[in-house]
Amino acid sequence: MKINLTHPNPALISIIEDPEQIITLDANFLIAPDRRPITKRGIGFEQFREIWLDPIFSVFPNLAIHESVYDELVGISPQNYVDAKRDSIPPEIIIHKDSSLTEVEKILRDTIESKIASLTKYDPMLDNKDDRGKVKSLSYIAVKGLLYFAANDNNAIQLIEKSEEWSTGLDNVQAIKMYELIYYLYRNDLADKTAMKMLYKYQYYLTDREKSTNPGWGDFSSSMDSLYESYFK
Amino acid sequence: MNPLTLNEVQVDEIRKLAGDERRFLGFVGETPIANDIFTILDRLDIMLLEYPIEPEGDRPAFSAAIMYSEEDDKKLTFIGLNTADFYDKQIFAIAHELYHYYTKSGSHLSRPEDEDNSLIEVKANRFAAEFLLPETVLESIVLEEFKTSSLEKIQHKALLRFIARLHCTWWLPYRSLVRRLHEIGAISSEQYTELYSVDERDLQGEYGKIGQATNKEVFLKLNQPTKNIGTSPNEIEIIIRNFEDNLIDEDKFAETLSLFNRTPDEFGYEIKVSQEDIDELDAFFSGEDDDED
Repeated sequence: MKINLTHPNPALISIIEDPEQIITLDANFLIAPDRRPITKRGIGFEQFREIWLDPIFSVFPNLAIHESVYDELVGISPQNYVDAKRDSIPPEIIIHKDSSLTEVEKILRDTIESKIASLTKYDPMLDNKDDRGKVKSLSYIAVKGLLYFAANDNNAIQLIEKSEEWSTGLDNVQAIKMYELIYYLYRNDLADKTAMKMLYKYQYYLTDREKSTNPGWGDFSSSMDSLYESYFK
Repeated sequence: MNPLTLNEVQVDEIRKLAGDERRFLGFVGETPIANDIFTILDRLDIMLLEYPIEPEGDRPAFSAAIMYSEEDDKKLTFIGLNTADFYDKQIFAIAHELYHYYTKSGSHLSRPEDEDNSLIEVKANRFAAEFLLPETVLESIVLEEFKTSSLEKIQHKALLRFIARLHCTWWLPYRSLVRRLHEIGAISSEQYTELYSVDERDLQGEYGKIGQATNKEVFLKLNQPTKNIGTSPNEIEIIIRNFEDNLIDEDKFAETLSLFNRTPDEFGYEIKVSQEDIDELDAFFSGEDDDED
């Protein structure tokens, strides 16, 4: 994925100013990255939990997922993690449920879903697994007026960032990328600093092509400082 | 023969349609389409998806299927081709699907058995034969070769040699050629039955040997399933451009190409990671075994 450092992201600024806002996560924020075969190994879940999930759940108290994203986790390690968060008292994760939509909201949701679905592999008529989570999540948060969707999937991010051009109906939703939260945790000393550098490298600065298009950690970190320094208290 | 036969008007319509479309595509007179059928699909903006599907027991696998999809105002057309079939039958199957494309006679992924649809299939087969080898051209070749339009007095072996030459030039399957010769009245019903009973795929049989003697390279190619998995160059180009425009990342690029047995290296995009980085990441992320799934 290409790192974009041309302009500050208003969504990240808003989160810097108030980290307690609801941020809805795509499934790939919860599933440990695995870039095999170009790397020797994927990142194991326990290590991913330690370096990434625990810090973000600790820093952002109102993280959410849509129930369809929860369904995507069935049978894999993140499901137990989410279960524990959901079952703790008070709950440490919000699960968006379609049953909470009013009749009017359902009609609006169906309209947005069909617009987004034509740009993904999801077909509402078939209710197939492909891209189901992100289509359901995005249409739900658009209808409910929730602002932030955190993703590390280029297609999901483009559905939001090109909402006007592609008429996706997601004009009010804003994308937060994984690298932006990596920086946030690093900048505020909220996670293991070496782990954040390694996670960045694994995700964005590994192949020759990525090295020719994305900045190395030092440049990335200082460019992000230039964009966001003034917003940190 | 198929119990359904076409009347003169129907045959004439198909002949005109095939002739018009051949001319539109630049195939005039005695110009074989043969392998150019794949280029024709690109020109018509039809996406080809190739996959080998072996028959299951007595249930024959499909040869090809045409599908339409509409996105906004743009109509997308796909032809799915079973590459477990012999190559000459693949070419015939594509020509058959082009009849459905030209006449908008619909998707026939499942082939309904009612008579109307069977008639459409007979028409599509006739179109395929006419498109690949026009009747007037075949009549002219017969006349030029034998100085008569009737081959009733021609010996069986000579007919096999003649068909083998047509087969290797026009890339129409043996049985379609036999049928065509009967349709134009060049061979009798008895000759048709005798020729139709030949096991044309037996490379050690009489026809197989004649075919190989005629043009070994082409004949063997036509008598083999290609088992290709892939799509046409235009579709591969779309995948590459999506990658070049950063619409998909390297991982998705490699994954999508792999569906068609292709790799980024083949298009000059080798995904390289330095050994130093691999070792560094390996050392950092080696704390545990993988536990997913």
